[in-house]
Amino acid sequence: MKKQGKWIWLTPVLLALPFIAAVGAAAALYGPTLQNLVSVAIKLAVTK
Amino acid sequence: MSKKNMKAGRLPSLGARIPAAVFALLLTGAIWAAVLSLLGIQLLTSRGLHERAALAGDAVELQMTRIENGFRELADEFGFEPETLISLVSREKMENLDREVVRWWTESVATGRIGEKPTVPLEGAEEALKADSRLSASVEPLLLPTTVEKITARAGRIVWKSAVHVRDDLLTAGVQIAGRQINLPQAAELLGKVPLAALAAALLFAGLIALCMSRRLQTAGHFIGGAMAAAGLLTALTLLPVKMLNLRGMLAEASGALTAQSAHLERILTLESLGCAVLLIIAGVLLMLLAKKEYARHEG
Repeated sequence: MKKQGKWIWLTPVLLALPFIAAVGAAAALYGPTLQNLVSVAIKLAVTK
Repeated sequence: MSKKNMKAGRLPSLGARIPAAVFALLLTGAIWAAVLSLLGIQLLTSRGLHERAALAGDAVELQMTRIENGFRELADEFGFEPETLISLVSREKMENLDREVVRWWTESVATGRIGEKPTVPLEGAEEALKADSRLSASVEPLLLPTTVEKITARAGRIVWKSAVHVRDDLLTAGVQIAGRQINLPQAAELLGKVPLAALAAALLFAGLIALCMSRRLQTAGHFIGGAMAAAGLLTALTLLPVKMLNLRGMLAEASGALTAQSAHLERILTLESLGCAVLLIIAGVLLMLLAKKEYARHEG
């Protein structure tokens, strides 16, 4: 019981980790490009 | 599952726990997708949300100041009393225009057809300008009607631009191009079903976890609760990259008038995301605690 008690709180973190890693990798790879694209799109689309 | 593991309270074998863990991972993804799609749909299609943002705080005040400044510049250029036009614009009229504009663009996007643009509330502008003594003195009587027409058209554009922050020609072109590629009403209907599909998938994965655990609810509860809490954690963490993208800063830089509205939208969506995240984490942790308690009871 003690052993399982220790691990129980880790379950959500362990389950979330692969998604966090995937989003982190995508953000590192495409983040700056996406930021530039969004910035240009906003400048083009928004009225002054 | 071995006989040993079928005893109440005992954890199922590794062979059952591995697929259960995989299903828990899928369940996490499904719940997260359901929450994100719900928020996304709200942002794209909710008229109420955009109306609240358009009329939030000092947004209308800022809009009216912008119009007044525009009218003053126009008055300097054409030589008339700015009050002649300023007196025609009221807070109530602007609020109505803002509501109409939100209805116009949300319906255009949802139906794929650009509806009739709302009318700018400048009734009586031509008559008021014709009666303006300063304008009559500075313009030759023969040129007065065309000058008044020109001023009214420019004033209308000032009011329209204060209510529509995205270039309407781009919006029209975007909706028309998208409408040629896909059936927008059908796509909107399909989009509305994404959260339901994600929830159905979540139910399926939860059922599969229960099956893997040989319907032993206390152990299944550990995986299902863990997945719910993980989805809550992910929902809260999603706000980080969105904040890092600095959409609000970009919008504020592009148009001062959008600052109040985008801040309000961001506040609503952040609160809703955090609300969902907290609910999911609490529900997940409770389920895990129940599972733990059940396990301890059987073990004892």
